[in-house]
Amino acid sequence: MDLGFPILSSVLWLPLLGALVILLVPRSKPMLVRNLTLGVSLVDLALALVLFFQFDADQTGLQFVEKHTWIESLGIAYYLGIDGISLLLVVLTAFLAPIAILSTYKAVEQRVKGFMFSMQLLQVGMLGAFLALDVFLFYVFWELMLIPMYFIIGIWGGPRRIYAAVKFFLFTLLGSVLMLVAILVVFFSHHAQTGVYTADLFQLYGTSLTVTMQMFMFAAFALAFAIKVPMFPFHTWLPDAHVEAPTAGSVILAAVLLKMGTYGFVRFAFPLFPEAAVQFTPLIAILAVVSIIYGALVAMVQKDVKKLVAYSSVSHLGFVMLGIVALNSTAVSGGLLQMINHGISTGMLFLLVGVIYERRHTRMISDFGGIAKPMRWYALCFLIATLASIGLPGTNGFVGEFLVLIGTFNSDALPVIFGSQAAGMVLAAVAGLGVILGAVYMLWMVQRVFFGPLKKPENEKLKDLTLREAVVLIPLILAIFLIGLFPNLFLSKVERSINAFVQDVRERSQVVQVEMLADNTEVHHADR
Amino acid sequence: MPTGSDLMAVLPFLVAVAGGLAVILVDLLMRPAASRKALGVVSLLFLAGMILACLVDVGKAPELAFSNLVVADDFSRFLGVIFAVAAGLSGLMAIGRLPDEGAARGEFYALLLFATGGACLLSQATDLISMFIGLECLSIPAYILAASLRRDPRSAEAGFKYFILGAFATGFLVYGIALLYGAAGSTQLSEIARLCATQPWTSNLLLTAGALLVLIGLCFKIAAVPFHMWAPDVYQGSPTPATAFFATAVKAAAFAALLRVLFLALPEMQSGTPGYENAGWASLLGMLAILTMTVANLIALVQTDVKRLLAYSSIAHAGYLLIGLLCNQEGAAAILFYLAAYTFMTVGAFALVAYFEHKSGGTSLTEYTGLGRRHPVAAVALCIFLFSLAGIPPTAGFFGKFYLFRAAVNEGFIVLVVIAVINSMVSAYYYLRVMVAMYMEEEIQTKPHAVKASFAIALAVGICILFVLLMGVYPTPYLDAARSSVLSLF
Repeated sequence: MDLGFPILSSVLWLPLLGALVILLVPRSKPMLVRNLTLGVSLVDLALALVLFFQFDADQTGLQFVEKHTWIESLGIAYYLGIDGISLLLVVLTAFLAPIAILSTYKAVEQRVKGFMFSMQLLQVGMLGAFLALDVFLFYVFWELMLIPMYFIIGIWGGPRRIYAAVKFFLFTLLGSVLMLVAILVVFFSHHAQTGVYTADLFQLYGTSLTVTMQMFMFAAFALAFAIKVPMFPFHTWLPDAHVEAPTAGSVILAAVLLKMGTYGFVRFAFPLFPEAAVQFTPLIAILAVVSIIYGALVAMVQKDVKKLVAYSSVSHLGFVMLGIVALNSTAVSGGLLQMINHGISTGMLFLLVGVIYERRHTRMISDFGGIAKPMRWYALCFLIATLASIGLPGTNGFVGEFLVLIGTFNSDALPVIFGSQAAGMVLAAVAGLGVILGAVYMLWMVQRVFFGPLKKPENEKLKDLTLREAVVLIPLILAIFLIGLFPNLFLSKVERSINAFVQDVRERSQVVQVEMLADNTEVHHADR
Repeated sequence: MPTGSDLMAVLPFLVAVAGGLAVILVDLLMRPAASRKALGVVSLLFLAGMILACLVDVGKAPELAFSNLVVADDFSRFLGVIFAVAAGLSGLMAIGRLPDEGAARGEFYALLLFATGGACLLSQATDLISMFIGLECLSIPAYILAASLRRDPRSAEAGFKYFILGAFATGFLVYGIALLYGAAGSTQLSEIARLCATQPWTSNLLLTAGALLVLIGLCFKIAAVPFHMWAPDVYQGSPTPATAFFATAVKAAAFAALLRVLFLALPEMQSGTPGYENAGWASLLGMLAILTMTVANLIALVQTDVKRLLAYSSIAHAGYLLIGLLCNQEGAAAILFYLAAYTFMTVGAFALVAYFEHKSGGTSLTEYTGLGRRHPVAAVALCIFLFSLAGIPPTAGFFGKFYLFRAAVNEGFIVLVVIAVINSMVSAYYYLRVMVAMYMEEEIQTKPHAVKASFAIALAVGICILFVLLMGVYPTPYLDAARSSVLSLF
């Protein structure tokens, strides 16, 4: 598809342009800085929407590809392109940017310029990581995201911000440096086999490595991504980072940065090392359900609303991972949709927590109670976000979770990999328990915060949503129902890409063959 | 008698030395009370001439001169540019900085130029004798530079320590040279290589011991652990412009000598003879690399003084660079690229240390609190250099490390690279600490002097930022230059 201009590069670099422009604005005009940043992010969103509607869902493979040599002697290219999977994530990223920025108009009053600069640089890093199809280019953007997020948490964060920022930085860096080594190994193995130096991801897919080698490489990639997701037991940075980050930081962190991990599994770890992926599947599947249950249980006992939402992320991302390892179209589509859903509903919950924090400077559940009375619209929004988060039918969360559970339950790959017919069912059942737990901790929290008697006098005169806050929240509510009621609008865009992914991994990991083998032995048994 | 072509071969060296002499002469003609900044400008002109002298000949075939004592090849030209840039940036720093320290005397610039000349000679040496002369031409002015803050006892200590340990290292080197001469009957690097090729070196004790001593002598100069003891004290005590020069040009020159010795004289000794594969210098330097980066990074974690922290960081970087020595041609190219990148980021970081030192009077981390607010531009610049030192894209430091590790993975040193990347993650922690102090911690107010920003330092920082970003975003021309520069070594 040719739009007459490099749309991917435009979407990608526009925020950087915006960042450089606001550097020229004098420090004494914070409002101009905010408005400029918002304007840039809205234009970027418009471009992303053009991308969404121009994307041809009936076409398998990459679209809007841009490829230029960058560092020729090292085989590194500036190579961008999207398929259905990255399309949705790019749109999500562009969609949340103006919302996050608008939410900071009152919350961030110190060093506005630096904050907006960081937000836009972060945007470049995230979009770049989703768009890059050259592994080194991907790595550059992947690392680039670290710097602005580090400053956003460390400068504009809460009381323990330094600890949280440094922990976030080091955890993520540990994962990614090992991934860099693995990238290099794959790169040279590919060269040894083909004689071509290339970092083109899709050419590297064809690299054949011994299973042992694959296991090491997969482990290196998986560590980087599992830290980012985060999967139990690599999640410990997340509650700190989420709780200490300023609202907009938490929104972006939860909504987009965590998706880097799951996206990485789909785009890199699984297709690059399909055989190792299958070997690791039992571990990942078990860690995924552990994350679901553990995240839910820990969320249940939180006293701080923000921390509760943070732990709920661990639980929700467990669903996404489960969907990916189930390795069939239904489950993977569900997982991908759930990535988007989590971005919207958890992003919204963080925004709502930010709203109340700005008014009361506390997030403790015990400090509230009965505030649905003074804050009717706020309560309504919160309830919608909660219901989306726990997956009430009609909201987006329902579709995603349902697809993941169905796909896992019916998975033909999981029984083969686990060597037990019941594997898919058991995993789906345990994950289903997580859905119930999710409803428990979210609704319980809502009940304690919004309903019951108004005990604290400070809460009596709480102001309801302002116009700006409503403007921030309304697009998210619309998105919740849009996806909930018309999921096909989105699923149709990803269908082909996901089928291609599932088929590719299955074929090259020989799950299909193993399965046939298993069928044959069954036939033998029947013969006897 | 040297012929004209001999002299042309060492033109960069001659320009630097002529510059030093010119500075001394002009210094004599100046009134004692006059500002010495003009001398800095004079030295910058000569350094620019030196860069020019290196660049005009790029691409010319290697040319031996002075009866095969030195060679002029792209390798020495690439390094010549690095030396001149490092000296020039240090000179800019000195112009902006030294007047406040009462050390603004003409000798500083003259010594800087002499040392630069020595570095050039060292990188051109194809004979152990010329290598020794180059090393001494580099080191002796460096000792004096270290001690040039006459009223500061730490500077005196730095100079003294540098001198004693430098002399010690020279002892190793000279002893090694003597043994190698005894074994090979010649001090020519190529003659030693010929000897190694004709007989299994493991059975020649004289040769082995000589090679080992020469390597130890050079490892002192690059401050590899366990020969690094002098570096932190010297780097901390010396005037910051001199420190920047030591950390970059001196280290680069020593690496140049190491590359020449290892690949021109001792290529046979890279690995042992059959049955003793691990006995060569490759394993030795590999272990040294691991030791150097790990020890330096761990010690750097607990530093509370930024200058000292950067000193340990520079030792750690020597550790990464050592990996490149094991990786043959690509490794040598990676070393050159890394040295270029490292020069810009390190000098840039030291320039900002000099700038902040000037303003708040100290280099301890507590005095860096609140700098992000008080000096936003300078603080952002320091962040860029620190991220580059940590190897985070899109900076020169990232591509430097990337290219180095890439060469090592290609040679199959995967475990070594894993150790190195974990080290670079550890190093990120202490670089972050500086940023934490500047941006995130509560301000512990120290009284800032209200002094205007120095144009010279700003210029130095600007140049460094430009190249750190340029080499990080579009490294191709520098990579290609590094690659073609090492061809003459193999």
